[in-house]
Amino acid sequence: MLRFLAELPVRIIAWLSDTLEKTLRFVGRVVGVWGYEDPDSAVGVMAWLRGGIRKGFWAFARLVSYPVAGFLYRGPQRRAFLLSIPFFTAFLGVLAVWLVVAFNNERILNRYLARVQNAYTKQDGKLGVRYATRWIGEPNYANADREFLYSLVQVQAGNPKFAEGILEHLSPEDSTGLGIAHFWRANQCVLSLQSESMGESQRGECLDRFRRHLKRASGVSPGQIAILEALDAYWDGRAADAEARYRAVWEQDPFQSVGFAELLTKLGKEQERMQVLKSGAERVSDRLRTDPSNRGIRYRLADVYEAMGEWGKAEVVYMEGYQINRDSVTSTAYREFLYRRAEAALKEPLQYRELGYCLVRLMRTQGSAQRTQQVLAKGFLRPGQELVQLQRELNQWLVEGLDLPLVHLSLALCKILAGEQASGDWHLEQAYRYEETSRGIAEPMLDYLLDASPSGSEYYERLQTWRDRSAAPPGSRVMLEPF
Amino acid sequence: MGKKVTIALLAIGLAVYVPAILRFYHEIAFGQFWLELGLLVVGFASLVIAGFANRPASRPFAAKDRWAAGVTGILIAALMAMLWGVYSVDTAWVLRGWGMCLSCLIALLAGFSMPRLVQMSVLCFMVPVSLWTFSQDIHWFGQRLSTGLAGSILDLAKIYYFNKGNVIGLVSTDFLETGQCAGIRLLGPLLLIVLTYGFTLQYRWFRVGFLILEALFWIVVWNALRIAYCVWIQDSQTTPIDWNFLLLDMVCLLGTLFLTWSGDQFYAAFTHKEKDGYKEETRPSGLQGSDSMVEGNEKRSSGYVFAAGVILVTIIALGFWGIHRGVWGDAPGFGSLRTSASIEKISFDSSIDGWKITETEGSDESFSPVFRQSSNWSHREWEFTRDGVLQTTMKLRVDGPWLYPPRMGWIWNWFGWKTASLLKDAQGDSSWEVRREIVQEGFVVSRNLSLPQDDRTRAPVVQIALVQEGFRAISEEDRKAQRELFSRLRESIEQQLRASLSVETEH
Repeated sequence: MLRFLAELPVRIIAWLSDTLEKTLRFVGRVVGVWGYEDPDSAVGVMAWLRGGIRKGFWAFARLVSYPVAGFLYRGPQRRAFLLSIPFFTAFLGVLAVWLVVAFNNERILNRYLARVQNAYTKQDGKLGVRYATRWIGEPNYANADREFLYSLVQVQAGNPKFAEGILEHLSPEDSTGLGIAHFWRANQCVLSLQSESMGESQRGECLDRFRRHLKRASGVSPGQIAILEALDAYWDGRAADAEARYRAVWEQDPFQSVGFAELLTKLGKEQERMQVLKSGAERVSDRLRTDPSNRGIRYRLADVYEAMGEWGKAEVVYMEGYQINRDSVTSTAYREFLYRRAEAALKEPLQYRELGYCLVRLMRTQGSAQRTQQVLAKGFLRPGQELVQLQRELNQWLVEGLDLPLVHLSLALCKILAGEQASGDWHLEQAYRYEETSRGIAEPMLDYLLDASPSGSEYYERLQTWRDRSAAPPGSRVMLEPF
Repeated sequence: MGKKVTIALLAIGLAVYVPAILRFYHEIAFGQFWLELGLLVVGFASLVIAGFANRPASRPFAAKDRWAAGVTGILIAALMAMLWGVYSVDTAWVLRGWGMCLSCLIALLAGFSMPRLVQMSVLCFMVPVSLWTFSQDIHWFGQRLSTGLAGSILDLAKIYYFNKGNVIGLVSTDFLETGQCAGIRLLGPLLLIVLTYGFTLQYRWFRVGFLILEALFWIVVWNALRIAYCVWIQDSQTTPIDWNFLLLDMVCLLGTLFLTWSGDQFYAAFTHKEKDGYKEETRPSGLQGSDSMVEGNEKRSSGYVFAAGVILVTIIALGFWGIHRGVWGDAPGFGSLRTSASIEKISFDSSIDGWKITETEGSDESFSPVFRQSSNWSHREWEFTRDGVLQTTMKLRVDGPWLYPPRMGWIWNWFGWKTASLLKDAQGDSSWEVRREIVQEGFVVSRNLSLPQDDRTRAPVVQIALVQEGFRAISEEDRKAQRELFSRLRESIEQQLRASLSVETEH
């Protein structure tokens, strides 16, 4: 055995040389290259064909041996050979580049794919899109999973419509597609079904579409599919089944508290809804305590508090998050929370205390941003009686010591709108006295209120009068009196 | 006698096409194709000089049956070219036929060999190649190969890039390298030089063919190297680098010529035969056995001379007909910068029918193509948005002037869009669908705006197109709105261009 192994390399060389010899002999017999017959004396089509093949074979052999045989040339042929070296070197170089890239194409594309995944992890969607553009047009490489990754980086790059297009392409109604894309489509159908602005026939079509996509949905946790199945049961009229399915998911996953609570609302079980939310809040709080820097858990907890109407607790959760992270993500989340809280306060019946608080906090955190101005205009441009209520709550906040300059500023706006110009001026003076920079909020805010109030209306006239008065020379102005 | 008559007819034939030649001169001036024209003249002159140097022993015209047959064949080709040129008002084709007639005249007067006459005629077919109406297809294919090879080089260098059709974009930057991927540069001059080189050295046709193929291969390779180099240097630079295009062009041309010449040496070394010798191998086939040409059938030669005379009379008649119909009249807009200046003057109100209009500069998918037919070619783009509706954003593209407008949709093909078959509506506007990647969809309405609309003269053309892009198939309703908007815009542009042209004509 050992002797065989020792002789193996020699044997391999012998086998190879034998194979080469036999192959050449075979080819030679076929094309007659060894000169078994005189080509000039041969006649007939077959002879002509064999002559052609023989010539071609020798031309090929000369071509292959040219780079080495050329050095043996003499005279003008040698000179021509030497001058042709750049030609065949460059030609072989081009051929080599093409072959190397062609044989490593998949490896190269994998390199790009890894970069896309990396960019996605780092949330650099624009870069990810550019890396993905390299392979997205390759039909043999861009499979459904990779196309899905492309859609994710498109979302990160700020092209949600593009991503939606890809997901629609990946979730056809007449073939398999990608499970996760079908899950997304099923969720889109859920949003449409919940919008309640559909006709009966449209709703039926949408429900059929939802069921088709739900049937093919996969690639997500079983709980998420189970939620959709629970909703399907609800729309199918199987209320008990829907509740049981959702409850099973909620017991495993407290993050589904808000969704489950919504279902219970639809089923008219208000008391159970509150129990679910309370229990959910406790369970999510426990999770947050183990990982306080986890934004996902934090925002889920805030969502539960919001659903319970515990806006104060939700704010505390957001503020804690801001103190831990202090970045744009947390400040954006808090800003959006404030807008949601203000919108909730503006819903009938109006919650004046909440509204007063939101207006002051929005002014403090967002200054005179356009969206803030819009919310503030909705809050201040109310009928007289409501404005009085708002003033009362703002006075209460003043007593409680909430952000004095901006509470004074808010009161000033109320007073000016109510026609109490002198009192408004006094509050404004107080706001400026506490904080000079509040002037930068007050002036654009008053301009916006003037623009937002209908021309010729009572508020418009009062604001216009106040503006004319405040624009008058200092000597002609009435001295401010304490309120 | 037959020779004298033929020479006289050829001279008349050449003279009657002088208006077409003048018109061609205007086109050359408009497109600034002086380099290609100069090379053509130099190449032709060098062939004439080489023809004089290698002139065969004198032989009576009528006795050379094969020679007369060759001249007749060339005159038939000339007639075909001229017929097509007159029919399509394409002076380049007329000049091709005219050049073949000129070759015959010179060959008859100087007694050149048959191969020399054929070489001169073939060279005349290279009359500015950039004006070939399908030149954008040639450039598209060449650019595709170049971009592919450049991409391979970049892959080996681990430079991250992506393709949008024929154009390379760097991952590290946010723009496409349209400047370097605008077509195969110096293709026409290179072919002229290679043909002249091969003909002057009296190579066999197979060898000339090998040289042309080789030159095409190397120009694609050098363009690829150029793209790869520019992209490599551009990598990680935030602003586009301003390249010296003339220097890069010269380097590429010289590199291509060197490698083509080196390839010619390969051919010489590979086909060398010890007994025959190098010079013997390169002797023109037409000169071998020239004695046999002296012997001919007098009757058949007379038949060929008669046929040549008939063809020449037809060519002359066609020339006179062209003059009579004023086919070669100077079309307005020629030999001046008027049309381009008019494109620069196009403007719109800030909104039309609820569409908000903004002009966009430096759009990603636009470039100045190598095969443009005017030195003052320009491109402008506007964006139309309708407030509150996300799906209805449109782009208006205006480019030109074109002497021979390229196929509609070429720009979309260039940037990797797949175009559906073209539809023409009752108003003459063309429209088609475009698609790219997985979900990018679009619809284009386009028209070649000829100024003025006179069918007898080929005036410069402005290509306008209104594009609507989205991530879902464009609905029929949106298409209808697009066609209506395009119709309004076309009328507005037409009026503005006409007004601008008439004002400048008055000046």
